[in-house]
Amino acid sequence: MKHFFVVPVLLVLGFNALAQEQNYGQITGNFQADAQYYITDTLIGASSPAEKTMLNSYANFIYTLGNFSAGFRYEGYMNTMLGFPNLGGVNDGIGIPYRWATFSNNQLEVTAGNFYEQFGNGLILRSYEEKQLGYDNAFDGIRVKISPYNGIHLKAIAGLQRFYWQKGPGIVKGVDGDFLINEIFSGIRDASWQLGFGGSFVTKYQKDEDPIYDLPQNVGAAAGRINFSLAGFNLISEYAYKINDPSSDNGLIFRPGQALMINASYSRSGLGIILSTKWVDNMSFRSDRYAIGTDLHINQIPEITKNHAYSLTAFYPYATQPKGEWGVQGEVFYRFKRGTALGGKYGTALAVNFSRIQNTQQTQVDEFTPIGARGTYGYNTAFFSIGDSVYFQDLNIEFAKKWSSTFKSTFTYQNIIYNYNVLRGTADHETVYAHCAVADLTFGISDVLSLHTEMQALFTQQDKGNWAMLMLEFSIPNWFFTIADNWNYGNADPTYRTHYLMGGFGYNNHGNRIQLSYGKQREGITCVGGVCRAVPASNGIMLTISSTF
Amino acid sequence: MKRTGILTGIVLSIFFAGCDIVESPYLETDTPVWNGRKILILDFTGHMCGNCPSAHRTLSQLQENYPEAIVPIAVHCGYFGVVATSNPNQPYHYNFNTGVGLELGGNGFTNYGYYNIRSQPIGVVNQLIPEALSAHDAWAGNMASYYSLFPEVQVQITPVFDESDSSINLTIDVTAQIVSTRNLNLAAYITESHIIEWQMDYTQSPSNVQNYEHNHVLRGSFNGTWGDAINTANAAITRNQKFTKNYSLKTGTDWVPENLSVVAFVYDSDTKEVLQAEETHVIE
Repeated sequence: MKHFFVVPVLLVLGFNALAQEQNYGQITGNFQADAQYYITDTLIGASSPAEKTMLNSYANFIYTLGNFSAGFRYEGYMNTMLGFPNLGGVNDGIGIPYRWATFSNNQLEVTAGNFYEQFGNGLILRSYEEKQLGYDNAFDGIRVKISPYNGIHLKAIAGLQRFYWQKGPGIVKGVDGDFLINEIFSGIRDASWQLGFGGSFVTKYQKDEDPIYDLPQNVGAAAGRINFSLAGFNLISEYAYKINDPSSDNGLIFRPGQALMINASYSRSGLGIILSTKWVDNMSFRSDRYAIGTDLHINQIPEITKNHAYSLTAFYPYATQPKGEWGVQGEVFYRFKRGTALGGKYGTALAVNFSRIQNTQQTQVDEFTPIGARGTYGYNTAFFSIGDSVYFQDLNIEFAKKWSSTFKSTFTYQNIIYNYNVLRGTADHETVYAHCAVADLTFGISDVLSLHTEMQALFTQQDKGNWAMLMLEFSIPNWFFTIADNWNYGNADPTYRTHYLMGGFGYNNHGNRIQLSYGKQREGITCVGGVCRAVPASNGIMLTISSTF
Repeated sequence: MKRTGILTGIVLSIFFAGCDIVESPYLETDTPVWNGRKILILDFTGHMCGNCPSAHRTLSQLQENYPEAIVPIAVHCGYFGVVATSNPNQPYHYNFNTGVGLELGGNGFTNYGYYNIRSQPIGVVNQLIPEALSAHDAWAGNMASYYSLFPEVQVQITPVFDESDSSINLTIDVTAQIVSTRNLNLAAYITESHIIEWQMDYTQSPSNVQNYEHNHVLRGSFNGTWGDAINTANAAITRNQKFTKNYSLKTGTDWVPENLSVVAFVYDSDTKEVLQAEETHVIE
């Protein structure tokens, strides 16, 4: 990894010197360092590693000059903070894992080095990074984007994916095209409706070294999509198909995969309605068939459940199940007009969201072969079949109102069904049925002082029982002071009715932020976009420094 | 519209033409040639790891397909390997942990061992480096890369069980098959099979299985986790040169001598590649 370091540093330093002397180009970037000092706390299951303090850090540097841009990212894990992917210590270390250069003009864009890319909705290709998850499946290779005609946008990529400080074993190649009908045909450019089509094809090559099974070395996937809008109505749909791809995810079965997603929405002033559905079967797609966890995903199945921001409404988050799932989501957002009975002087907003995910129906391929048996076709399923097992359901209502120039509030109610066994990989755990309520209040005490409070409660008879949370945050210009208590007061075992107290303060100014906190964090799971990682319980001091420039 | 459909079909056919659609029975038709190299597989497992029996079944399948070539060791360690209770009537009371196992895989709380074990099941095939950890579905392919190689050394184990004090006295002969200057280490472990104890198994309902048969369980070592150096400083090794080591170990009180095996392996102490492994029952 270290040999990547010298060239990009010299390049950017050189360009920087040039930029300063001749006022050519611009350098932008950002930096963040998160450090934690760990204290052992046997009651909550928090451990202190040999390093005592662990540190995740990164910095991006981007140089732009006309049609040319280049950049690199430094990353340092000394050593990787607990809970982030690091099997075998594979993530520990420092170096430059990401560097790139791009040239673009009106019709052509060429990138060499690392890049992130998404085809359509990501059903067969999406690479991105998410620091909160320790997720990064960047490509290292080449990407070409061409726009040969108005409304026609073509992309081609080839590369290997990032595997921590190494690269995955599979070579990924893909092409994608977007065809925007209203731009292609100038006569309908200003029509009240807009129509677009798209298609993509992705293939991965990985050598078959298995002496038992005849594994496919070249696995292809194709997807087609449509996008239609008329007035406030919008429809997005995509279908994807992948040929046989035996992997650790599907237990080395040879059936192909399919996925369909449909997203319809309507919006006008003060009103928004969204209806979504998806059906997925055997669509895990990685550039190493044996990869596990969040490693080397080529695609990402979009989530259709709400990402909650409050601590207790996000207590039971949904993790997308590429092996098979059917889901539906509906959301209505309405803003009551100011001056009406419900709208009041400052306006009121109401949002109702419902989502439900179930399994797909699977049957044996024959009477002798169990469902999912290794080295077989696996199972049969009809397209868009829906099983009886509920994976997840979330009904939530959010009511936001500003009462005066100094007081505003948001009240949230949530009702959750959470299939613990499917979503946490266990077998005998009860399905969790939970209610959650949140009151989020902000008081402007004076021109320079405000108080933000969150009162949260989660009620369930399963898992660890009831929780309550209180958070107070005082803000003055550039500074904030926070104290929060997560209390597992309903735990069936009185020994574990723990208070998870956390206090801290921070400073914010001109893109620079420093935050220091001390306290306990409960064990849990955090998800972004349906991708999750386990968060271990911890006790200690946390420091975050970030900056943009 | 029909023309567009035909065109789309043609384009997709061209794309998918380069892909490998495999037909049933999905099996390799070529049988690899075995030249005597035995392959060590360390399976980092735990009795409270519900997905670990899948790895145990992978090992069993490999042993069925390549009975002469596979030398497995189940290393109980990590978060899922802890003793859940001291009450012998409760599940997961049995202590499978060993000093060697914890040094290799950690206890999952205060340390993660040499291999930095963060999730289970996971294992290594013929490599004593953390970077070589892989999911159990990959073990067959990893094994195949060594299967047809000629062994650089041969290992012969001669155990004698002394009933008077329940100890095992051991002679291990390592014979070089080729000339080399490798730095070599010899490690000798003891394993036990047919231990009937609790195991979590997510393929079963209920998943807490009381009478699970645990095989190849690491019980300890004759000469420490990393064994003894038998060739150092890149000294020249001649063909047929023999290295002999003698060891002794007192068995545990609940070990069944008839179910014990000695596993010895020789590895390159620089590259950490296992060059040859051997397994012998203590009592034939």
